[in-house]
Amino acid sequence: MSQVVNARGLTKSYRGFDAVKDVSFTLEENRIYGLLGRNGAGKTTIMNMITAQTFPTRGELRVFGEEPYENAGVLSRICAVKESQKYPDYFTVQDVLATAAMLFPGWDSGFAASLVEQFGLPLKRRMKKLSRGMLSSVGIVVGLASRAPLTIFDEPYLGLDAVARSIFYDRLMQDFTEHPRTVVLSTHLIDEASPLLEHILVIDGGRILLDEDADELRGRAYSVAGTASKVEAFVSGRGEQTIHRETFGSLATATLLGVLDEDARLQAESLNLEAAPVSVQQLIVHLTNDNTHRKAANDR
Amino acid sequence: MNRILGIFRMHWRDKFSLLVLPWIICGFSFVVNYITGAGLRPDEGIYTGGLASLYVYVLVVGIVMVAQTFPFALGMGVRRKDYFWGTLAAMASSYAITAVVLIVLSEAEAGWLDGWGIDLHFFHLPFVHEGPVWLQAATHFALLMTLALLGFFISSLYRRFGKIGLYAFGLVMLLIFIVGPSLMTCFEKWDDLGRWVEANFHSINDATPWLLLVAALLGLAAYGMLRRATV
Repeated sequence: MSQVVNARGLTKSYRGFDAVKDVSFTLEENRIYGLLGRNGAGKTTIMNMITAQTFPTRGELRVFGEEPYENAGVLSRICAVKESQKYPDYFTVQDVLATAAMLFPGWDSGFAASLVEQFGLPLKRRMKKLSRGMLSSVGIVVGLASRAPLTIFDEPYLGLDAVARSIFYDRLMQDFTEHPRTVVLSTHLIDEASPLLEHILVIDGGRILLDEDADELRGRAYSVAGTASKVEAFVSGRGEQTIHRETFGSLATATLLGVLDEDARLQAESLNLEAAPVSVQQLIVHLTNDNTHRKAANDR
Repeated sequence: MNRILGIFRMHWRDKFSLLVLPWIICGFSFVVNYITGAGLRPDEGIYTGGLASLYVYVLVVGIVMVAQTFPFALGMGVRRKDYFWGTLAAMASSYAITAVVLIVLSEAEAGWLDGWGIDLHFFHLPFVHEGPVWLQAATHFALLMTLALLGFFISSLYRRFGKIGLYAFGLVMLLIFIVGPSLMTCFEKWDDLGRWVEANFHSINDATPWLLLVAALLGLAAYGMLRRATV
């Protein structure tokens, strides 16, 4: 499978502060990636470097095998929808779509029109008069209808309700099946988006914390809950990395990195403990919440 | 599709700012001058610099259009180079039209409109409208482009160096305009300058090559800064 993005030792510093530190990863053709992390983790900076909207301080970055800076062949194959995208004040929704149609070689205006209708976007309204949710919808329409070989959605649905978000997921999956491309989805709503994601990159404090297939990540951790002493006994008996611990009086919950197999299940049952798999979102929250357990994920 | 053309057409989606608004502002200035002129009716006629409003507006548009569209264009995956040429083409096309309209109005005012009936000189001015018509059109086009590119330059300066860049530029300009005239006075060169201008500039047309040079330098500087500008 050919590589769409290849980053080696990518670093971006702003006056001594490293927004992105020595990051290396590859994105392969026709897969859906999740770029996850907290606010300020460096997600947008990485995307801005991929699209040459900002420049790396150090490191190497190849997009479609080439340097993206001022490279029309590369840039015309990328559509990056940012939550913070600025639009000209006097532009209407129609103006934005017409401009996108002129600039993206793969633009499908029929698809754009059907999305506009589904999201209920007012074509004649000016961008600066749109609500936050409508503004996000315009970005989503541009991102989907451009059919760019590399499509990046950076927090695409700020202000969108659950119905609109599910329209986005449905249309993305549907269109992805018919027109495969590389999609990068950066989001906070991890559990909601995780059925779509094939591969997950977690970034925290400017570094890559996890770079793994979503399926592997789904069965990656489990938690046990029950009496504190029994939880303790279970944890020491299993000898697996504990990434999170919580106690309420005599009760405790522990999250362990490992597979919840038949053996673990039986052990938990014998100790009268509740065992359950941990969702991708919870796993990432635990990993990015606590510095001391960060290495746990990488060491494995 | 060619992306320079895409940027050109992106700018032209805002026909109001590029073509209509300058004339609304200029028209407002004209009406004020017409009313004053019709009321006063001085014997020597009215010579007004109200036309300058249009040129000032062109400078403002140069600043605003780049500030508004550059981050958007980059977000749509456009190269900085294509953005520059597309924007330059949009400016050139709109100001070529403006220059032609200006000269048509100038000719009309001097000819069959006969000073709008009140001896008002608004579009046809001594020193500014001299020589063959094509040369006048070229001069006004050069003047409009210089101002538009000054706007482009200022906007690019801001994109590349932020507020610090603007302050530094303002400070340098301030120093030039304080120190320059002081030195002129100190070395008693004003008379020489006056004689030089009198000998070399018979009309604004004589400044056209210089304007084109300034416009080219501004464009080059704007391009250089845009190449390293981030969003």
